[in-house]
Amino acid sequence: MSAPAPLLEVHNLEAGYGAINVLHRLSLVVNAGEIVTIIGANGAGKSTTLNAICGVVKTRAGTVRYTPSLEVIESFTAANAGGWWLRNTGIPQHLERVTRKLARVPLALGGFLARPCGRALAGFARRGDVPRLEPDKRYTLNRIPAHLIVRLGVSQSPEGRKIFPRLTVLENLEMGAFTRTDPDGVQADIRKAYEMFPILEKRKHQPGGLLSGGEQQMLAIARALMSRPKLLLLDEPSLGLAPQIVVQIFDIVKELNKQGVSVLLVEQNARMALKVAHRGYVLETGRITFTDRADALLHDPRIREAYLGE
Amino acid sequence: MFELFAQSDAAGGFGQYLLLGLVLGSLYALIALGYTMVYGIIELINFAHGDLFMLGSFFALGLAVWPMDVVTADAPTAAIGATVLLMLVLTPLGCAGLNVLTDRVIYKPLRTSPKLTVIVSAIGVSFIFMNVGLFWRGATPIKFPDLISDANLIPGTGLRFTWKDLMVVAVTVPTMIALTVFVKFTALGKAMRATAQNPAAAQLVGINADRVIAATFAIGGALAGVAAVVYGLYIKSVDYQMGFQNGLYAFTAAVLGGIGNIPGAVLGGLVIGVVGELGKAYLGAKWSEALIFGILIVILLFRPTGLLGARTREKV
Repeated sequence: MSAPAPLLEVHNLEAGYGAINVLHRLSLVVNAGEIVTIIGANGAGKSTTLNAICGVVKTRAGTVRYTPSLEVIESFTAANAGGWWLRNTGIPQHLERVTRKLARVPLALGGFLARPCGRALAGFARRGDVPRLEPDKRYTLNRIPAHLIVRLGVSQSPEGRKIFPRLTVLENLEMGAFTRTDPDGVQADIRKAYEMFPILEKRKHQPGGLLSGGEQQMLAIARALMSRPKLLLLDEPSLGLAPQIVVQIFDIVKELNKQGVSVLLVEQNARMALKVAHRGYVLETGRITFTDRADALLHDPRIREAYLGE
Repeated sequence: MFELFAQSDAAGGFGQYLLLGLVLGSLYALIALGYTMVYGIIELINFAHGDLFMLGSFFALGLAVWPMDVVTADAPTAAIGATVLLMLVLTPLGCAGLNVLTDRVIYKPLRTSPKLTVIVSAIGVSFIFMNVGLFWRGATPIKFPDLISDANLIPGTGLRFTWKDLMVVAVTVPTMIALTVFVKFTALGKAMRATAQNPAAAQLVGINADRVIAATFAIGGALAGVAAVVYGLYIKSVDYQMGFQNGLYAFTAAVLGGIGNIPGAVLGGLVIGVVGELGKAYLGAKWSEALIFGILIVILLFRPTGLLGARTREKV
């Protein structure tokens, strides 16, 4: 039996800003159920990698392939099939019926005109339609608009301060659940987020911009979890946090992983990252220079010298 | 006639100018909101907004004489009511549609261009709209049907507050309250604020920025449409250049209040209305504009972000 397709497969990715390419033929794989970490120095391209996967940074070459689970496909179809316009107005369905009738007009009796008109009508009816997902298909994320990628179950917790500064903490969390259509589930998840980070509940009516750096980081993580991701991209979650909170966050990451969330973790704190991860990649100036199991990397003398400060 | 004259004379004084200023100011505020919302979301000063307002008033003028043929306040109240209602529904719709179309055709392809490029094209759109207006209704000011009574609602107080004034307040205040509620509490409103504050993060949580921007243009346009109807009914005269002057006042109001800030635009509009009226009364009409812009300069010297604009750029 062949191995199942990896959850995420990045192949020969190039991305950058302006004239500068930050990533050079970067390839990596995240299998379902794994915690994978990318370690590397400041400016190596770690955040760019995550942003390219989420579609916030345009890729220049290469592919980002993603295989959504059956569960994602089902919930996506239930919530988004056809988009708002198709589900709620009834106009597209009506137009499609008209199209079918037009397609039956005999060619000799004006069908040569009616049929193309009907097809144009049907095309118009499906405008803005969210693409239908098919099981066992791999989706090329870098051809999908960024705002649809979250709906496929990929969610990023961006590096500090990328929260909405003038929305309250509660509104920030609600925005994290923007793609969801189950208000009760969202409420339950907001309560869960408060359990995870009690400080957020204390500050729920404060604007996000007034939180401390560490609190903003917690908010960013909590917000990313609100979309119930299958693949969580974490950008420097330990940045600016007190050590005991860092430990707590990595515990949460492990716990989420046990619940079936795959994690791609970008960290400068290489020791912490390698301790929770299954596998690791070493990124140097936009190139993957090294990859292995995380515990092997932890004991590799080169890694120890360069990234673990020994 | 004599009585009316005497009444308005007696109504002179500080309170009267203040009242008039507040009424006019709420009108400016309505236009200013269109500037401020679009700026808040894509940092574009939409210079064409004032001219959209002008086209809206031309459109409303057509509605006054077309379906019911109501041109004076002597017509049956029901017909006037229906006409005004029709104007207040169709003009905002038309302006919203035109604004969204402009964004789709002209600003959207320039979304990633330098800011200056977009601003210059906005100035271009402003001229196009103005010339469309000129072509449509000619260069001479046109009388807008005088549909609403000038009778004083509060006789005996020494002040004058007519049905017309009431109409302005009765339209603008609920509109602004509805806008505030919409932006504060609805999912789309929150998505708008989120996109304005951090477009990249908004995409990360699954907000379709294009749709949010289109909605912003639609709302801004609709507000200009409402303002156009109210202006026409209140001032009773429209011309193709009115978008420039009123747009400039409204833009000033938006900057004064802190551009990108919705309560700021309302406050700025009211301040400009009141200052303009008081200036006209005590310094003479020719000094009124100088006073308004003088105050703008002084306020911006001490509060560069405007009265309510605590808007600071977040660290990236």
